Amino acid sequence: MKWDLRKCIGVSALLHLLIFWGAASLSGWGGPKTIYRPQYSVRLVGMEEIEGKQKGAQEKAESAQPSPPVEKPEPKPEPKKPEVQVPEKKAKEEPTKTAPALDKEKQKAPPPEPVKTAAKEKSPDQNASAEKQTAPEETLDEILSKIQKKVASRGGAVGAGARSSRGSGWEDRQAELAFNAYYDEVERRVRQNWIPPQNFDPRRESLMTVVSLVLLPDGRVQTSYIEQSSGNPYFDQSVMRAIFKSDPFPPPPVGLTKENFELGLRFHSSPVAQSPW
Amino acid sequence: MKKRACLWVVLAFLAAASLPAPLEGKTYIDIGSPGFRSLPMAVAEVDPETEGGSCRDPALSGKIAKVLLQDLDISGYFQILPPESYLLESKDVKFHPDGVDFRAWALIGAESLVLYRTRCEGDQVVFEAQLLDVLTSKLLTWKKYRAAISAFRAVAHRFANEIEKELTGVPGVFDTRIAYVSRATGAKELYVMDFDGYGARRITSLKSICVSPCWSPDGRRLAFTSFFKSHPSVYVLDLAGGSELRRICGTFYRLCSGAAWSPDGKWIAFSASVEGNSELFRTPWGGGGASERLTNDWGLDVSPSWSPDGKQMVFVSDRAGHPDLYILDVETRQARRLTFEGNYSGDPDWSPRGDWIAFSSRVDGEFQIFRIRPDGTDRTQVTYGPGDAMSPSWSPNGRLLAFSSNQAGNQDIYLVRIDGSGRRRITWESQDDSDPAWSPRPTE
Repeated sequence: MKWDLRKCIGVSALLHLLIFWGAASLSGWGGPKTIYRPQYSVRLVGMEEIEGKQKGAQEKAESAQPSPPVEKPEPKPEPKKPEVQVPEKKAKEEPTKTAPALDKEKQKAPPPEPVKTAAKEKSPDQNASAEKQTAPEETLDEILSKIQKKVASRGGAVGAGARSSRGSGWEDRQAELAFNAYYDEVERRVRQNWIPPQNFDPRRESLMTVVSLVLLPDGRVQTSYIEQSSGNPYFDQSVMRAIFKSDPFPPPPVGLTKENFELGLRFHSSPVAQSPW
Repeated sequence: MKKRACLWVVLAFLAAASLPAPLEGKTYIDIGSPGFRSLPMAVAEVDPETEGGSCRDPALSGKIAKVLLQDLDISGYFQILPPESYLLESKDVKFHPDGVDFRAWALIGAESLVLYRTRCEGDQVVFEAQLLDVLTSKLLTWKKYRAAISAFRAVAHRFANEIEKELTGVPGVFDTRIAYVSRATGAKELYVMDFDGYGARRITSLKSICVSPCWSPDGRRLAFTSFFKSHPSVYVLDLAGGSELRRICGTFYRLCSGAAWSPDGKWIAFSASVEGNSELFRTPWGGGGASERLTNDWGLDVSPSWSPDGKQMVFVSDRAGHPDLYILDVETRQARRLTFEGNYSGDPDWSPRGDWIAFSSRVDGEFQIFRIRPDGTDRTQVTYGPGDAMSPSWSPNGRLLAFSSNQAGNQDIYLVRIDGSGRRRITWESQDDSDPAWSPRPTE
């Protein structure tokens, strides 16, 4: 009897441990699951074949309704370590890397620079404006479904982030595009408002401050706090100033977020453009 | 018993299943540094009529503000917004932080706000100033200075230092000085002036040639080369006066020149001629001890400058055929070549921050200021013509360089930011001014 009880307790303890371990690894215990936006990772989805058709479709999309641009690069399913296929610098200089679902104005004002091969899929507006004469041969939906099929036929999950990993439907990908556009917009806004201090040597020190934000549906900041300090108070302060200046943020995508939208921003001391000190 | 155990197992699994579903991942956006940007700042006076009215010189407050604005401009960190853009009249600006209408300043794009007021009490000026963060509506610093009216420039410099320290983490260099050589009297004598060119005073009367001044790390002494006893020798001068000139080369060395004080103040390095060839030496300062020879090769080795940690020294040598920069490991006495481009590089000065070495090098027949990393990378031209630019000297924060240039005909001292911007002439004598040496920060 005594032995049985001990055995039971032992088995029970073991099971508990197993269960807790399992639960923890499933639910991301000890910190929420972090998904880094695959900022400049792109995967080309057979553009060379569908390019011409897409141009026509894009034009139609421009005149008709703000539908998600089909040519938005599909990020890799493992966004934590983005595979940078486009050189970072180029990507940063590219003002139209945003999928412009939220940004119609951008589409209407295409920058004059020539389309770069690597960034082709990012600047549909240029193609559109350059070849407005091309008559659309297919409807947008048809082209979208073709692309979907092409992507699906390549095997591999095409969505990025938690959202698309749970569903593989078209809606998820639309949400994905909307979010990516939104993140691009946030990144652009915050970066514009950020004046980092110069009291460290970027060659010797690599600083990072992580800020956690909760945004209201209209984009106003409900709460913001430093989740991880860089260790340099002036760097942290400059980051918080950038948040202040960026408030209100662009409103999160309508209908796709919970009431209060939580977002993390990771401010890096690099790259330091042209600053020698 | 078994049944019960099974029940527990089932219950445990049920419990596990009822745990909250995996959390939705939070997305993190990476934001890279946009590089250097200046901070938009507004500077406004409070109650000029009532406060400034107490001064005999009604323009005094304006003079202080002018020095303050000039300092902030030289630093390059700040972009002063034009007063025309301010939404508030001076009389509506309140000095107390609680009374500051931060929105009115945020609207014009200011991130920082400086409010100041000046009044006089007898022969003294009282300058009170605040630095406020417009975005967070916070008071960053509030200082009150009392000084003789004649010292109003020092008051402005002090507050400019505070501003830079508060916003960048590193105090400014606005209370530092520059030693230099001037021919104002006909002979080449040593002078010391404020970093912005004001308040110059002569400190030697040797009626000879004095060159290459170098500050002791405590800023109290100057070592320099003088020819006043026919052959050149290195002397040390106490700026507080009192003691006489002290020759440091000893009796053995002839043609001794180009002193450099080690950062810990314990050594003075110089070059001296041995058997017709110039080599580097160091001699202990303060205590006794013998001089040590640091280099030994057939080329001429001159112009040493210490690294901030005192372990290395950059110097000029023509051992490869023409003057180039080399770095000497003081411990091992091993030298490595630093510059390979150009056929004439000289006047090296190691930044107090350690990250750059400034030097002059000949380009298209003209000398210009360059900087290079101590590992030999990132060689960058800082100044451009017309005219020669020579003898660079770092500010204590490693952000500015003083140098001499004959751009305006005769030699004058100029300042420039490390990126080549903000070039500014600071001496205006009709005679030559050259060989600037920027002082360390004053010790309190």
